[in-house]
Amino acid sequence: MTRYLWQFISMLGIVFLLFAAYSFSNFDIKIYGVNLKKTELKSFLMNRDTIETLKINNLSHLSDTIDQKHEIVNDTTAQRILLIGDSMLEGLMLRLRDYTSFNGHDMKSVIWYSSQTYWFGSSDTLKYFINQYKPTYVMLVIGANELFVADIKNKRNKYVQRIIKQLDTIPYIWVGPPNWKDDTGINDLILSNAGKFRYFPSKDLTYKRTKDGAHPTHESAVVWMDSIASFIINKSDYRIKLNFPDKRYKVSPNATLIQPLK
Amino acid sequence: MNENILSKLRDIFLYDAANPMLFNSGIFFVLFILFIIYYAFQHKNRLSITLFVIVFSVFFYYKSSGLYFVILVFTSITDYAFAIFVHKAVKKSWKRFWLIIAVWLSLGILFYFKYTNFVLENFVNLIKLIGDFPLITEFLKNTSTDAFKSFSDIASNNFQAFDIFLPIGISFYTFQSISYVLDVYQKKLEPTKNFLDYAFFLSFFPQLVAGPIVKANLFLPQLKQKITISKIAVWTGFWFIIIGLFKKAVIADYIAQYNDFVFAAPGTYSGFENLMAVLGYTLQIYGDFSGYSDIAIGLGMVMGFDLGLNFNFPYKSLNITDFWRRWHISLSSWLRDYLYIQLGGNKKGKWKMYRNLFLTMFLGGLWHGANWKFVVWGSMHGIGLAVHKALGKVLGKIPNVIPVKFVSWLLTFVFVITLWIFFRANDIAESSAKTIIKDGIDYEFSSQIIAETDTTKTVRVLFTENNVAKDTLIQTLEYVKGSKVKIKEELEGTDKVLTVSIMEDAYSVALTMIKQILTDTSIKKYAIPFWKAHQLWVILILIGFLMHVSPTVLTNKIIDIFVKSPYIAKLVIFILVVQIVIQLKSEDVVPFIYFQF
Repeated sequence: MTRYLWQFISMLGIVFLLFAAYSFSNFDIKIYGVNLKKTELKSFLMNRDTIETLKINNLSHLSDTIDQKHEIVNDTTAQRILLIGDSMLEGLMLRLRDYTSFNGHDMKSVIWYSSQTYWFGSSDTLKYFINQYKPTYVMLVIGANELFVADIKNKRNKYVQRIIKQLDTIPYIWVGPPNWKDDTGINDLILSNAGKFRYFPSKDLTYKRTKDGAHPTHESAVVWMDSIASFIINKSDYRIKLNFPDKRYKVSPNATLIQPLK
Repeated sequence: MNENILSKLRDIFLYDAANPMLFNSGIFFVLFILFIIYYAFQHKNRLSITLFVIVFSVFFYYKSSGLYFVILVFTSITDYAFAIFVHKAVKKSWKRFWLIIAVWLSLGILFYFKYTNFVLENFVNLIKLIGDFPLITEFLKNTSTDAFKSFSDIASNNFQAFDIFLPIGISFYTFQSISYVLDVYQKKLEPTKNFLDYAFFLSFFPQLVAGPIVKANLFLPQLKQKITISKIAVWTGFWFIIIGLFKKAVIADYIAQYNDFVFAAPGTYSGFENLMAVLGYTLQIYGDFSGYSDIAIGLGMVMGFDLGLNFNFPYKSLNITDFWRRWHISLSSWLRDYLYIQLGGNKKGKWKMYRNLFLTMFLGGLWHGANWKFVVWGSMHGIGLAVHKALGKVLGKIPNVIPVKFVSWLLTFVFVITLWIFFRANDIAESSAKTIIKDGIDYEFSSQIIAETDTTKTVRVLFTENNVAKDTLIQTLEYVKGSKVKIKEELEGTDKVLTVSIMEDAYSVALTMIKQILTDTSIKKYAIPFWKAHQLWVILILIGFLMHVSPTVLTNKIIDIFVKSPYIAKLVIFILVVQIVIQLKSEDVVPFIYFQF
């Protein structure tokens, strides 16, 4: 009767070998347009640092290539801008409201308090708001809650990639966190994935902070948003109309607030 | 290269607190293949296989709980010895003495790891409550200055939980161990003479960390028989493993992603979305727990052991008593045999029976976790069971026709899912502030209420640095009365981050959900957008509930067809399920819900 146990074992062995082989293969199988995912066996057995370094290097190389041959799009049409990210948005959204009102765009803000790339990268929250609001341009403000995560490249790279994947073909800018202390690599990670035309280095600015020592004051957030707007129209690869507003507008920033996960 | 190999070996063989080994993790899959190959070769050699399974089980537990595997070993030794003492004692009083020692020792360990913080926190809250009564405060002031001081000290400080690790599965194996000593005491079972048999029973890895809670009188006799591995046992076991994997890793883990978001902020979602999350959680907890149990039962069957049935389509139940005969059967039968019947069961009149039902479920709720929400959940089920018993005669007169059955099912289902809301709801941070404390600074902190209106309180958090009272204001937060202030310390690099949060308690969260469901559940308005945004989620929910609708005869027929199906068909089904698991898997293996209990 033990032969049934051996049959069972052989089945486990075959399945293991099949999935291991697919994990190490250089091809992807697609069924009805769906890419069959691989197990993480390869990345587990290979040195993770080596893989990550390779990825980062490859992306940096891509960035340089983009630099030489990059196409720049000037889109002067009215946009539907989705501003989404962590609590740093609170100040930014009030100033973006001035830009959208002045330039004839529509905007939607989504603040997910305490959020991290891990949360956005492992949930469908971003996709949900994209489906709901149908933006033509997305501004991501994520990363401030991950300034001090150790070994961040290994831990967060996949989530950053997933966030960008969720954006699909929608043009975007990723506003980096306004550091109040040196980070452990979140800015490098965003830059390596988004590329220098879609990453705004907020860490290079100086801010006046609120009492918590982290969030820029409203006045400082105005300057911050002005800098982002300037970057988008002068240095990004997808330039939308963001002329300097003539005044402060008091319309709603159309915000949805999401409480933090426990 | 060598460093890389060493690092991988460390990943495989050393405990990693962030990644406890689960049945649905890749490492377990690989290790189990190696394990079962040796098992197939050696299962007829009783001593060799017993030792091998014990070592593997202890290693499995080490991969789940680290060095706390020592507690498992300790409990095995003590309860094995106490059972022998109970059996050998001639006088009844000595038998009782050894029994009490055994039960109190097991419960004491469980209590320390699981309930210490809960008891202390409630003690501090009680002291605070006493401090809120002016008469008592005045009394304490007048009678003893020192006593008052210590009371006010406790009341002015926020409770800081002790850092006590909860070893995975301790609630399960403690109950198994207690049942063994009690069975010996009640002479239902002879104590096993072989310590290895007892260690095998208690540590058997398929059921070690999450049940089923296998009773000694079911399992130990199996160890005295020759291990037979039949065709039906292997393939039925394989079926259970596949179905369990599908329930846990596909249905429960996938639908959990949406449920978690809604339960984290129910006020920001419509009533319809809240209702979907409640239905989702109803299926999630079933898929998660019964799926894990199915894998355990399946692994046991493949190895030639019967662990019993743990779930029997509980959401089919037509009344609450029926529900508890179908949900977590091994726990409910344990509670019935070792608690309800010991309290007198239904033998001492109907009012005592109601009391016993309530007490059993009250303690059953507490078993699920050191939190009042579990106590409330268990107590409500206790009341439900008592009411159902009380109405037994009246209900028995109603004809058992389909419309009546439907109403009975609906009432039971609504009762069960409403209580799941209270079971799942957690405290939510309404607002919070963070402060970074540099490495090396020795600090203490406390909170003070500095202003109070009818509906709000303003709290100020102070801290003392290097034993010098700095009286520095960290943050002033306004919050609605009834919310709680929580202070949490986390390590980020070498610095500490102090987070002060205003929490909405779980009870208010649950009520918010119910209010949203009752006031904002327009199917016309929300159903189609919901479907568009969450198609796969809805499909998995439907599959999960359809599994309940299928008659038992059909389920058994499907198992029979699978067992008799050719090798290649089984292989294709297995590959399909594994690929679906990989396809839908979230980045990290989602911990089993019952690990927290």
